[in-house]
Amino acid sequence: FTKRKLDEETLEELEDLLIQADLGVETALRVTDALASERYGKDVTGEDVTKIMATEIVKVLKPVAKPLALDLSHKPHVILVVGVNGTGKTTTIGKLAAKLSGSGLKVMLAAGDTFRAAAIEQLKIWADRTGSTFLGTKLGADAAGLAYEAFERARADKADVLIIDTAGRLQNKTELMAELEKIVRVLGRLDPDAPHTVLQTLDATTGQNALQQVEIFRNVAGVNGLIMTKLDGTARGGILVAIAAKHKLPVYFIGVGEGIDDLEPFEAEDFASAIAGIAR
Amino acid sequence: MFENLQDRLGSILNGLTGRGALSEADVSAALREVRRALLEADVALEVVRDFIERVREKAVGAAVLKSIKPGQMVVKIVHDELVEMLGSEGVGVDLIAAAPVVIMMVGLQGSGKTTTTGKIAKRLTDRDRKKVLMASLDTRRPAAQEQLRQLGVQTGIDTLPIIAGQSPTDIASRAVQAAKLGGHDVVLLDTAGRTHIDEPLMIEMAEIKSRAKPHEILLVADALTGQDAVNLARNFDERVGITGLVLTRMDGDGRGGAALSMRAVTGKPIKLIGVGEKMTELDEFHPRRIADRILGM
Ligand SMILES: Nc1nc2c(ncn2[C@@H]2O[C@H](COP(=O)(O)OP(=O)(O)OP(=O)(O)O)[C@@H](O)[C@H]2O)c(=O)[nH]1
Ligand SMILES: Nc1nc2c(ncn2[C@@H]2O[C@H](COP(=O)(O)OP(=O)(O)OP(=O)(O)O)[C@@H](O)[C@H]2O)c(=O)[nH]1
Ligand SMILES: [K+]
Ligand SMILES: [Mg+2]
Ligand SMILES: [Mg+2]
Repeated sequence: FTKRKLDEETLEELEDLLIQADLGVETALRVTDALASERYGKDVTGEDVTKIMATEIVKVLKPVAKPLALDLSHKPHVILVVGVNGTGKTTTIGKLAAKLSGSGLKVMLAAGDTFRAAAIEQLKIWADRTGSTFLGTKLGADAAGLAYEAFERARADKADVLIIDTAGRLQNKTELMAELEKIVRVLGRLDPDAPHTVLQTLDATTGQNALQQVEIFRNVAGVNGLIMTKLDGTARGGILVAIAAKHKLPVYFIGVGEGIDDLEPFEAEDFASAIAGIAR
Repeated sequence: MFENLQDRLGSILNGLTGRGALSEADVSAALREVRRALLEADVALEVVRDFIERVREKAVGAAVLKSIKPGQMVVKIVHDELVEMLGSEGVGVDLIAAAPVVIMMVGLQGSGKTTTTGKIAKRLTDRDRKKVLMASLDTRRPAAQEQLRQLGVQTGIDTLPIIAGQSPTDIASRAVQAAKLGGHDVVLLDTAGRTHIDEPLMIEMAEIKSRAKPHEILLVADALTGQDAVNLARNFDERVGITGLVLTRMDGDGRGGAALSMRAVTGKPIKLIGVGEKMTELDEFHPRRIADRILGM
């Protein structure tokens, strides 16, 4: 819109825009309230409005936009990847392995998803693509056992980084979550600090349930970093704003496609602008 | 997290207990809460707006029954309208066509197409005594064809042999041909995941359709989907003309508002729901249950 008064009606329109980006009602209201407290009753242009809204969102996201730092004094630095089914764990591992081996690190991938059909073969292909070593087992085998073995093997091979894939699971499945807890516990036997990084993938098309996903995976598996995938579609992944406000967990990367290079650093400004509707 | 809608509406409307009819102002106040509840359940905004107007028409002037409080009255109207919009139950997969009946699965990446292909094939085999062939047209995702092959082995259902390097459209033709020769009643085509703005892949999907002439095209979508549900459902429907929806991950604790969104923008029935990762975890759709869930009841 061109210049107009920032009134209730305009605020409601803006709130709707944010809701459509999946921020959720509460978070959307928080952003528009901030906008109102700054400019209520004053003349604003569309550009002003998107700018102020983006700024408000950046305030929340900037502190969580961090690069993934590995502590290579751990040999290997163990990364465990967890999340709900189909959110992009295995693919993200492939992309991440490409980045790490590209920077000269020796990477090993372990197929801890022993449940889903061909999950092992899927990860194996990514290992081959990225020049990573690979450890897998049979379908139906104990995932914690595989994780333990992978850690020992990676140590013996002097790998710099070990990335362990896990089966997708819904956070309300107590039994499956207990299995995940066991993987973490078993790794801790070999190194009390392991797994050093626990990454959770979030699907940008997911709505308000993503908040619950982080809540529970964090409690059970000690998630200490997030990656949002599938931002190459039309979903804006706005629930990440609510997640950042609540959990303050670092967001390392975003997934923008299925290809090996489709993993980009998370940039608070770009993410906020996409939500606030500024075309880049 | 989420207060029961009835409690919320009760506190807004409690002045009215058991008397008269709902006024315009009462209804408006209540509907603001309903709007919020639906948005929190991930119903898409445009669908919420439409829904609220339909409820408003029914609620204003509705007599508050002696036996029922105004809050409950509004909840009942909301619930009934939800059920109505979600559509009737028991619309199964339609097999009334010349054999082999082709069923094509489409959807975003990771929505559950391959798993659901296996589940539907198993259901048609076990319950309907059909001879089923499954074929993966996913030549893109690593080990996607292998995934369906393994599901075939697990369930004892035929899968089309994998020929490396063949295009999805050619696999589609080969599958239909093989089903004819093999005396299969049904052939299920599992396709690669695609975002609805990926033009080459949307074109490919339409080509597969014209090649295989599916009798059913099922859009497989995640029940946890947020506001994007309307975009994806509308786009897939416009590009291939879906015949029904399958919602997966209904075993999660999501509120499932996407069901209403997708049903509303496409008008296509929700035929089945996925309630787990196992091949048997496929259920019929019951609008009443989903309505309860959306309302947190
Ligand atoms: N468009 C798009 N697709 C993606 C992205 N990341 C992953 N995918 C696709 O999403 C689908 C699921 O990805 P996976 O990596 O298999 O997901 P997962 O979490 O390992 O799945 P499970 O192991 O079955 O739980 C695949 O088709 C991927 O190619 C992304 O950033 N954008
Ligand atoms: N809990 C649960 N998981 C499901 C359900 N349906 C599918 N899944 C899981 O979701 C993940 C993705 O399923 P797939 O069938 O591979 O999905 P897809 O749509 O074929 O994925 P792409 O081919 O990569 O686009 C797997 O981990 C499945 O086990 C369901 O109803 N409930
Ligand atoms: K999904
Ligand atoms: Mg996986
Ligand atoms: Mg698939």
